[in-house]
Amino acid sequence: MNKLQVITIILLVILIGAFSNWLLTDLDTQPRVISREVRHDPDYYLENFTATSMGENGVAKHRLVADYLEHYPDDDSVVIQQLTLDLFRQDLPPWTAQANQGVVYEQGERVELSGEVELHRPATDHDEALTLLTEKLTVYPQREYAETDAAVTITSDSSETRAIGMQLDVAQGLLELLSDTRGTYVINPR
Amino acid sequence: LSSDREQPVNITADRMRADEREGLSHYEGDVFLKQGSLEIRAEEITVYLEEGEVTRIIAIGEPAKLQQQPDDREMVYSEARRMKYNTRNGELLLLEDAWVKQSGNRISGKRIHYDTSNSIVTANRDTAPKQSGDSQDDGRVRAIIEPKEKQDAGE
Repeated sequence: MNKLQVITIILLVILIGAFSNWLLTDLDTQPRVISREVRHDPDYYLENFTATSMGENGVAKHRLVADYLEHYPDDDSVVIQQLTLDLFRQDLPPWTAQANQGVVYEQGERVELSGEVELHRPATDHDEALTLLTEKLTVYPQREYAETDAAVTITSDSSETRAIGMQLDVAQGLLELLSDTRGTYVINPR
Repeated sequence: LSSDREQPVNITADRMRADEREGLSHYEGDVFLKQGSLEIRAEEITVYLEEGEVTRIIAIGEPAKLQQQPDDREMVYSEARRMKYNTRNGELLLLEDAWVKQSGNRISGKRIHYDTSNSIVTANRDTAPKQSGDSQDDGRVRAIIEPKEKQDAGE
């Protein structure tokens, strides 16, 4: 091993030592133990899981795939990391939401997505595949509905649309852009 | 311009509703469309897509207003309550109280066919049955072509 490697290893060891030392002192200095109900601590967590919910007809309605999930009993919320949420439909390709984080409220009625939120939809017989980017999105899986008041950018191979605010009726296949809408379409004349 | 129809179509509006099943995007509220020198202002503009490509655009207004700069002549102005634009071949149909004006020449009628590639206007009689209460406009084509000298004098 050359000198550089030796130095980096020594440095690493010092760093780890310092870090664990800081961790210990930090724990010790916890001023007082807050009672369990008030504290916002998870009571269970899941890792690398897939959760599929079925419609009455036994067909998958939506499917959640995520790296990590924690449940918090104090407000019964669930925090999910790195998630992919597929919203299936009968005669149209699914919308798929992806985000760094999702917080689930009201037993899955409402999911607040944040952190590089993306919505994808494969091509339909009329339109090309679409990608929608925004910073946050509220999804109501049971109602098959999503909305945001943030800026959105929707792109496909030959179009780009921007707006502020969006409402997506997944079941009906209706996407509404609420204000300041700008669409650009590339034309291939024949 | 003859190159207009190869340009991207830009549309700004307050709102838009995209219908995935019908394959259309419906713009509403202060809608402005621009494609090269072609400009349309309307209350509503609907864009029809096939395989992600725009094939038809319908503008509706009270009236919708259009202008375009032909390659070699003065600006063309037009108004109509309904405009149907075929983005593939550049042909535009002006319907309902339609008129087209260019350097003093004005054509009006129920149904005017306007080729945006080379700014050629052909107006034909309205074959639709005459609606009652349409006494004033009986669908006949009215063209006012000003004599050349008068035009030059006017400029």
